[in-house]
Amino acid sequence: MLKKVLAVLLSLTCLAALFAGCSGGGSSAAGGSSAAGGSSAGGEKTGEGKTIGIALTSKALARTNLDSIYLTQYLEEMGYEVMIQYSENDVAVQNSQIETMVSSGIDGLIVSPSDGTALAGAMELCHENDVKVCDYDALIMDSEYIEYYATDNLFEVGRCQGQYIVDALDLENETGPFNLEIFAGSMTDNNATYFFDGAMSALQPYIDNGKLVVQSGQVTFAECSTEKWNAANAQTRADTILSTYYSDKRVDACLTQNDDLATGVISALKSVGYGTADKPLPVTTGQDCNVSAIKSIIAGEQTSTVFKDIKELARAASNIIDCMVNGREVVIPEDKLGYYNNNVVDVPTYQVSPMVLDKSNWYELIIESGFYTAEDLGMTEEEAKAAA
Amino acid sequence: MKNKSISLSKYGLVISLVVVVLFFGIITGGNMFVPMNVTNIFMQNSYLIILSVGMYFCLSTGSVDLSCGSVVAVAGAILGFMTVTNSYPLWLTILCIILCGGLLGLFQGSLIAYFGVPAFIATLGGELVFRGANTVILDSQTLGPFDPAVQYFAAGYIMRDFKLFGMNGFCLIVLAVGIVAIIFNEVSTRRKRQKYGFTVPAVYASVLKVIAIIFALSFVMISMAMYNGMPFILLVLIAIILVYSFIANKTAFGRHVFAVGANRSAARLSGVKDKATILIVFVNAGLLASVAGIAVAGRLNAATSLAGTGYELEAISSVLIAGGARAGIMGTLVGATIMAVLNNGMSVLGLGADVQKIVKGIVLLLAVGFDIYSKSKAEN
Repeated sequence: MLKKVLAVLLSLTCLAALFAGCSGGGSSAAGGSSAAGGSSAGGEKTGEGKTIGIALTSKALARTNLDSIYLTQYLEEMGYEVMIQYSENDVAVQNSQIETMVSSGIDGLIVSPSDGTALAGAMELCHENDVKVCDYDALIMDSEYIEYYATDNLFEVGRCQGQYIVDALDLENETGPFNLEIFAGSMTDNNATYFFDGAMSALQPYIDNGKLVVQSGQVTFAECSTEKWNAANAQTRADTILSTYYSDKRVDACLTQNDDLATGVISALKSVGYGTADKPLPVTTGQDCNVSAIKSIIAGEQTSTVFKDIKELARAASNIIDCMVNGREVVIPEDKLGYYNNNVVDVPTYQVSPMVLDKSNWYELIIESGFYTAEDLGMTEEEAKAAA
Repeated sequence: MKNKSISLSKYGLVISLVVVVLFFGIITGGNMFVPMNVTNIFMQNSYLIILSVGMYFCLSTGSVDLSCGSVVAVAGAILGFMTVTNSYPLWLTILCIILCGGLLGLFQGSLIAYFGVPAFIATLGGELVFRGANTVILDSQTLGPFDPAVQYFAAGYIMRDFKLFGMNGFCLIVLAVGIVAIIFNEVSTRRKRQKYGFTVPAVYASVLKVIAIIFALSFVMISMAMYNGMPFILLVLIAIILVYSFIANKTAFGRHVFAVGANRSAARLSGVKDKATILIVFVNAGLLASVAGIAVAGRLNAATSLAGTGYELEAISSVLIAGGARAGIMGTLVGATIMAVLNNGMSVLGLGADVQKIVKGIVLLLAVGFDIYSKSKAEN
């Protein structure tokens, strides 16, 4: 049994070595908040001695990596210590992570929920321990303790996608009928409903007057949803729809509500022969501006995506949490202010306005704005300019 | 007779636990010992202790139950389906969940005991089937919130507002009773052993042991007293451990379980009903898994399709770290606590889920490796 002690000691040494190596990501927690703070003029470090916890979803999503980079950057500029945890889409794990962060003494929390319907308990815990919370990206439902929310204008994102299809197929002038298939987001993501409603607000009139036809008949959110926004799930559903309803017909447009779904559906389309000169790929949409999506748009496969300025969102969330932690009033500019209802309260929200991105304006929105560099996209600067 | 030295080998497992606790305590700068966190360790890992007890019996018969994580998920799904989607009364729902857990265990147990399907394969199949069933019952949604009684069971505290000396009174009373019980137990065990002529450890060894246990108990109890008091689920855990400890050590059935695990044919030829024993062990595992499922869903106050993922491997690790069948229920408890402290400590350090998996895997491999090595040395 003494050997067992040795075994544990050995593994703990490994752990220490691993920890030393991994301490690059996510700094250790401060032992409790200090009394520093008070109001500050611009430029002063209001976050000295304080810690902000950031609870994110999955490291595997390109978007989450950008979230963590920008949030860390802006918070550290303000002097805060930052503690990041990824829940890998398991909300029970996220719950435990929030509990642990609270007991480590964080002053504020920015949470991007893996499942907005199961975090009400964690929010109550934060409230009891005077930890300020800013809800990020997806809304936490059924909790009275959500004070502020920062997200993209969700309805508008969906509407942009729907409107893009309308414009691309010129539905106002053409008679059609055109075939449309719908691929929506995850049922556990409250945002997905807004995207869907927004898109349908632009598309429904044309479905009603017959210019757009959904051959599979799947038009409700539940029927079109994709579990966990997973590309492979979208691909499987697309395969089935294509083989069942489109063996002798052509699909003209796919409302694919984020870049991962677009990737999955385009793979399915290519495997049944779309993407050639006489059978071109249908109009597709997306959101998040993943690197792979931008490359796909440049290559002429994915048609469009929606640009959401993650930098603006991260900065807004950082400012909100900074004001909350230091007891200052949170001011959201008129043109960005909105209210989202989480079944208990209407939450004042900072909404980032989305923009449609396709082959015509990708260079300006992505390279010129500095969102990605040419290197991020795997090209040299000349190649990027040539493809603009 | 008196033995003048402390038997180190017996306490190797406990020493490992102490080492792990101290290691994380130091490396987290004491953050791990904060009262809220001590309470969290028990609340976050209650499922692990419950599942480990069930797994202990399975492993003792020479089988394994890979499906307990999925049974946890199904229990939560039924809870959600019956109380949230429809409005069946809570007592009926709980009854259905327990019955369901037992039936799932019965299904797997029969395959293993009476049809000769290897336990690994039968429960692997079970894991997939029940996971799919969970998603079907939930319709891919997250269901919640639950009845206050369920929430109290999983996340409530006993007499939260009863204060003594500024701390939770119930915990302090339990601590006082516990100290008396420990001292009394040690004294009476010594006397009984001496009466029958067995060796008894030296007095200083007994005193040290009692002091150490009292210290640990006091630390835990006072930490809880400084936070919200004793979690209700802790009482449930203590009850489960006491009951199953009794079954394992003091009943004929317990003996049969070990006999079947040691040598199934010899056990059968000695008159032990080996098939029935294995069947009961799996029914029991299913029952315990459904109780754990209620605790998990109740704590999150939601039933999700991802509930219980990876739990079976954690439970197996807990039992094997403790030493397998010969560890006893108490040893399994220590093994589960080591896993729990590992889980929590790595969380406090902010290590990602990926790194945590690597560490847990290494700890398990090393512990089992040394175990097998020392066993083979003992045989030579």
